[in-house]
Amino acid sequence: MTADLTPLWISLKTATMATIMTFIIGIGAARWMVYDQGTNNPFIDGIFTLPLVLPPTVVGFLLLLFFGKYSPVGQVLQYFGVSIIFTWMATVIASTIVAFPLMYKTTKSAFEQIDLDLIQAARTLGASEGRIFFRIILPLAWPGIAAGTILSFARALGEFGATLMLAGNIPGITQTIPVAIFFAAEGGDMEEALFWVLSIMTISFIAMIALYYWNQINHTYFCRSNQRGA
Amino acid sequence: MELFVDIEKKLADFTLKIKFTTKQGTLGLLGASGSGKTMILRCIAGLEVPDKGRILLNGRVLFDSDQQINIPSCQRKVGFVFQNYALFPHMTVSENIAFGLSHYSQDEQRKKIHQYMKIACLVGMENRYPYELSGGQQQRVALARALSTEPEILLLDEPFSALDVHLREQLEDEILALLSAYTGSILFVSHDLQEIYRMCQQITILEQGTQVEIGSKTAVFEQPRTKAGAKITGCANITGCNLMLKNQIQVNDWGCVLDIGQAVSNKITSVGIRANHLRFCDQQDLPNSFGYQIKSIKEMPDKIILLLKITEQQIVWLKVEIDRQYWQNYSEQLPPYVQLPTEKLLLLA
Repeated sequence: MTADLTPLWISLKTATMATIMTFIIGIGAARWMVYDQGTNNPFIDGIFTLPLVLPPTVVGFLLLLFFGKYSPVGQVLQYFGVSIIFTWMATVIASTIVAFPLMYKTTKSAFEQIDLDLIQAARTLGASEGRIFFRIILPLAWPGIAAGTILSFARALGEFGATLMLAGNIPGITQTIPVAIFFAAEGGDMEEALFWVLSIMTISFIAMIALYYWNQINHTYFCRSNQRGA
Repeated sequence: MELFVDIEKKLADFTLKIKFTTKQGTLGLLGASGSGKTMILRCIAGLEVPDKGRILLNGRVLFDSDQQINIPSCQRKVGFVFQNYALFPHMTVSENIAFGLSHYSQDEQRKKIHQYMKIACLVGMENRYPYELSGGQQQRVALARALSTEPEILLLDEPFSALDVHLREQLEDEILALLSAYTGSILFVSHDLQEIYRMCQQITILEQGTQVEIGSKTAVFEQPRTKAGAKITGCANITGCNLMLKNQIQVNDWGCVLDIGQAVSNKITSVGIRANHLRFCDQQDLPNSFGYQIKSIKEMPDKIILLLKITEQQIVWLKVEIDRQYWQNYSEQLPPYVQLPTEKLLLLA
């Protein structure tokens, strides 16, 4: 039995950080797409969704190019003495990018389901766009946003391919549970691999149960109000 | 209180083109579904942008395409009651009303909420959610919410259409009482002529985005000047006619010549008579009276609708509406002649 639990902490830390980042960026992007853009631009929507359908290794490769020594971004970072590749930040960035489409898509569809009359009613009552967003749009889209958050967390926790490409496998720094499983199994340490497999299954399962109960709580209230609205 | 609207907007099927001014009181916009009524309200509220024109409210420019002015909704001081009320489902009744009052202090907010809850007869329901209210109560919340911001004009978009028919009349009274305290002008949109007649003093009639009639409700209902106006105010018999002599018209569809009493301009192209304005009589020598054959009888709870044939050449039957009591008094044997009274004929352009 292994005594080194660092992959667990790194995974939890990474997934939490990545979830916070996708939460903010995903909601921002969904708001921009649904409310600020005149038309729903399929081209931008496609780019936002791409990390969901691309193989994680492709995402990882593109991130390597983006942050690498020879890219403009990499050079600017190097100038300031910051290096992203093979650091903990890299695990966060990889997980964020891969989890982002889930947050974005669920939030966007939650926004799209809000009755436009409610938003317009709020406008005629003198509310600013910011107030409408925080008092009307966010609360009404909350079940969708919460679901997106939990899915993003689960996805960030399970991220493997892009993380390995961008952050590598440095025990104690970038070795998350999925990476640890791969290298344990490859090295023949089936017992350790199994330990990590079971722990990540437990965490993900708890997240899904949380999602289920969350939906139950919201279900009663939203079903009733929707029936009336029809 | 004065609202001036002169706008044009291209819609999918037609171009909306309307111009009117309204002062104190209630102006009703009457038109069939899809005639552009709601779009007018939305343009006034700033929820839609007209292609060109001007909207002025009490001298304030809300929209002017020449000067490129388009004041955002939230600064227009316009109250809007949506067809489905658009109550915020996640807020209680008092939170819904408080939403438009955020610029007041907590104390003033509480006072105002209480004041409007009282006006709208909602006291005791402060903490209920919209789904816990009946349709009529939801409507009153929507009205209280719109009125509490003290708008300069109140726009009502088919406020009764979401309610059961038998509730409507009672609710109309409640709404009229509620609105009696309001001093701004009101724009009321409906496709129901009974409702608009009861609620409004002034009426404008829309057809395909064009304004065909405007005036006081009695003038518009009693003496519409256009075919569309006559039709939408419920005139059942309308058909084309030719002016013959100065005071006679020839009506081909009815196969007859009618005496119109007065000399009229050449612009008259159609004639109409409301189904309840035809009279049965015993003499044949009255102007515009004819012998008739009954083509069909339709019984309604309170009235009888007959289709009459008055001449051999007639193509379109005349629709006549009579009281059930009247029908029973004659034990279903009506007098032998029917008259189209001269003063009841609608001469339409």
